Amino acid sequence: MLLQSAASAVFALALPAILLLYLLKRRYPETEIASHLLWRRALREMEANRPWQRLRRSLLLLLQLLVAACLVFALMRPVIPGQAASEAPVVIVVDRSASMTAAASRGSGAAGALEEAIRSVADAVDGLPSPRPVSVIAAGTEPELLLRDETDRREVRRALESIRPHFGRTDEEAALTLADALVRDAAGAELWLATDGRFRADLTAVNAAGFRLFKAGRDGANTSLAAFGLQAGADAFGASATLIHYGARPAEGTLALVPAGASEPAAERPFRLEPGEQRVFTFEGLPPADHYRAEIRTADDYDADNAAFAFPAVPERGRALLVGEGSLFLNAALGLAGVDIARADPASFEPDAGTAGDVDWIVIYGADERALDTAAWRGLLDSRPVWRIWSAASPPPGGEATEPEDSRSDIRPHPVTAHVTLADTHIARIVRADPGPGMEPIAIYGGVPVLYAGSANGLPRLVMAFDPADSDLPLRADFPILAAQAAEWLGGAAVGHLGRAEADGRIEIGLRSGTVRAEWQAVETAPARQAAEAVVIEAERTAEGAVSAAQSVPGIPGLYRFVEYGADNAELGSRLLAVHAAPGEGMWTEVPFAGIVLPGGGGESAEQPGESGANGASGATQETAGANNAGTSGWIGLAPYIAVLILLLLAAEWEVYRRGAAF
Amino acid sequence: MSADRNTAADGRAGAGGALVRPGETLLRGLERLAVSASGRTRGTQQGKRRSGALGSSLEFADYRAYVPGDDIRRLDWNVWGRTGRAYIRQYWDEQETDVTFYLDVSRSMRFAPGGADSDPATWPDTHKLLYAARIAACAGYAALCGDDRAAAVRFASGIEGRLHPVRGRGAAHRLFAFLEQSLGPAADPGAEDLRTPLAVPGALPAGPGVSWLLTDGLYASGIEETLGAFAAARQHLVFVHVLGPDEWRPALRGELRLIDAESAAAKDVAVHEQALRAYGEALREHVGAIRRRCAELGFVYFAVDTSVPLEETVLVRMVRHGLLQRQR
Repeated sequence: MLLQSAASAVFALALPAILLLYLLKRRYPETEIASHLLWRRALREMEANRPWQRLRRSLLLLLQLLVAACLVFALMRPVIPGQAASEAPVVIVVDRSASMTAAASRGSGAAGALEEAIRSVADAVDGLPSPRPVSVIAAGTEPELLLRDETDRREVRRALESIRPHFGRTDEEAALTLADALVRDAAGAELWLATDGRFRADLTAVNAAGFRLFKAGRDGANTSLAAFGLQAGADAFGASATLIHYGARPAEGTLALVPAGASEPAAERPFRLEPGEQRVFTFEGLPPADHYRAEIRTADDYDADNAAFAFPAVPERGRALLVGEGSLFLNAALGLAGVDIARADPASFEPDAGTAGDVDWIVIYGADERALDTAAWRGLLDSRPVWRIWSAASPPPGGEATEPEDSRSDIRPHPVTAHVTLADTHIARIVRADPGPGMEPIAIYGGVPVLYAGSANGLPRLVMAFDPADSDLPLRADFPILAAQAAEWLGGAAVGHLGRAEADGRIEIGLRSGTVRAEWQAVETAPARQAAEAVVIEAERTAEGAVSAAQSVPGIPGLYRFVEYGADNAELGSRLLAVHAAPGEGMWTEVPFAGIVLPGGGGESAEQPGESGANGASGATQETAGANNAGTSGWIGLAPYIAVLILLLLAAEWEVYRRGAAF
Repeated sequence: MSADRNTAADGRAGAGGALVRPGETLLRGLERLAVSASGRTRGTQQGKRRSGALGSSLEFADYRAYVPGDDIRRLDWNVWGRTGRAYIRQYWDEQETDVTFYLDVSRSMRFAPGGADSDPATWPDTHKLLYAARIAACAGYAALCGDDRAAAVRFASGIEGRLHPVRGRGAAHRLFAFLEQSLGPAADPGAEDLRTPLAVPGALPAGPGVSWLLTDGLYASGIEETLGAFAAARQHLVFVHVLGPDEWRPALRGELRLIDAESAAAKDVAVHEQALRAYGEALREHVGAIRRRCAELGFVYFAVDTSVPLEETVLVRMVRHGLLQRQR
């Protein structure tokens, strides 16, 4: 059982009122007189002289009948036509995808489509009768519920005006699903959608009583810089840029390539594109630079995709010191990982003060441990990450060679052992020894730990407890992966730039070891109609407080630098990331609003943004497809008034009864 | 004899009668007055019916034309000699009149606002019973001064007490004592019908005389029949209608719950203009009925408002109305 109008419980106030009347029943002041005789006769006189007094007894009857009639009438649920203030809520979905940063419709006077949409929605909200609650959803990667059932119009306007464009991918379906969830709660709810039409939405999925479409933006033209890449040559760079033009008429403009820090383009190319044409432009002989910005200078309606950034994929190679004989396989694997190897023979090489600065990390393989016992070696080994590879042929002091029991491997999660299974590997002999304090086994083969990882003096340490030559690991694909991950983990791997990412997306970053703090610094933001502030965004942290390897990409397209800092606030390094808007937003292949399906058929039966202001003010409901909104907002229910009338009649009845013969 | 009966009747002989005893001025005034025997003033003899009042005293009253059948001894021969017309002489009756005072002591008479019914000392001068008793005292004194005999009866729903006729000014204290005793508390609330106390055998005097009925007349029924009973008992009745100012002109206002002093019944009345007018109508009707009956029977109706000072009522109004007359 449901109570359709729980608010009518306010009539229950009549019960304490009745109770109060009984309690406070006015007792007539008692006056003693000699005799009632004359008063009785007087009252009889009065009665006789007033013919309608004879009806007094039937007055109560009349009132009872009236009360019953009112009750019956109320049960028949009378409604009269009128502009009732209906309580039906309004759910507003605002499309804030990147395409909404395009130009507004002609003559609207707004800076962009988003502003135009917000203006028209806010005006329409102001025109609503006040008790209607308003909910606002901003579509984005995940829909954001900005307001829920808010009746204060100022709050609604404030929330609407706080909506900023979202350059990432927009999940339209999720926004509509959320809107549907809100609409289901209340009867007669209306759904308002403010969009520029490049919003794929099937509104039939939403069970709202009415729909209202606020159109913004125009069916314009867009020339998009779809791709831009740099090629680092020996002494000059090459570049290629792909342009696509969407529109009804040909586009003309220039493509300019501007190196980092320069104000003048290094190269310019005029172009003329036919509608729908895609063309690749190549450039040669560009002066080397850290990065390049390519931009289209043309008159188009959407400029979030008019600029792109690229940087040469020149990885910074790590440097490792190989102490001992090493092996061909190891050298090859590390080389694949982008590590430059310098070999040192401990017998003949003694490190000096400058050695530590020349290497990023050290791998000890096939070296005589006693030769590493000197102060200089110990100092070097203490100051850099070290990877020891033990050999069963000459185990370290305190260790012994064993054979694994079987070939089952147990891999613990660790950056070094990620994607490594040792499944098909056969290891003949493993050294069982104490790897040192703070080392944990991260891979166990046949019951014997084969890999230890840990840290000493804050530097990572890795121990491989078997000689790769004692196994067929070098012949497996696991080996270069293991080597590359070890190299990366030890901090000497190729720390290349971060590449390109979509705005508001997620990116995995291999952090340098020793990173305590990191931040995004905006180098340049793509020219957009939104004002771009000089932004420094603090990197996200994990629950333990360390910098997280998974970061959110900054929301505004542009070129960003990810800078990592060590414990003493020393800058450990920085990498570039080019952030672009979701590519689909610029691909204006469809006519706006073609993808929007309104229930009841018909794509566009809503008002144009330019008119919405005037219409919103007058409060007339715009009929969009087939909605049964007449069920709620067009009628005023009379039942509450009849209930009040009944209560008044009961009060009158009470008075008549109370006066009794005194009437 | 009568003394014995009276001792039994008034119990505390000589108990005082301080409350009902008229003041000095009143006493002086009353000594010169007497109760009217028949309620007609001098010189208004009306017809044969009244002739019973004429007696064989020596006091010449009036001439009357001779009608065959009259007593020839009464013919005034001097007038016949001079005018040739026959006239009969009439004389005032000097027979002793028995004046009986019937005092209504029912609860409606006793009613004192504030529930002080039981203590006569606290009653205001407008108290109906007190006023009526005082009137009875005054008229009784006048009767005794006028050489009439005075008796008194108090009744509620039955005869409560009786003072057998006394004669002479010296007996006034006994009358006063009896009346004072009537003020005392009584359990009997009274009856709705006046016949209940008065239509019983022995209630009314045996011989002809004058009776004064002092009551507030608030009886639903039986008044007209009782008056007829008095007439049948050859009494000339003076109906002294004693009502308080609140009953002549109620000062009540608003919505009240009226409690009847006699029956203790409660009645919710919204007293407004219309209700007051209706009350006035009812009162006029009630009074009018009693007046009519009195007129039919040749009785006297005398309305008393207890707010009028006693002296004025007794010495001025009663005299003017013919209830009391100057002694000859």
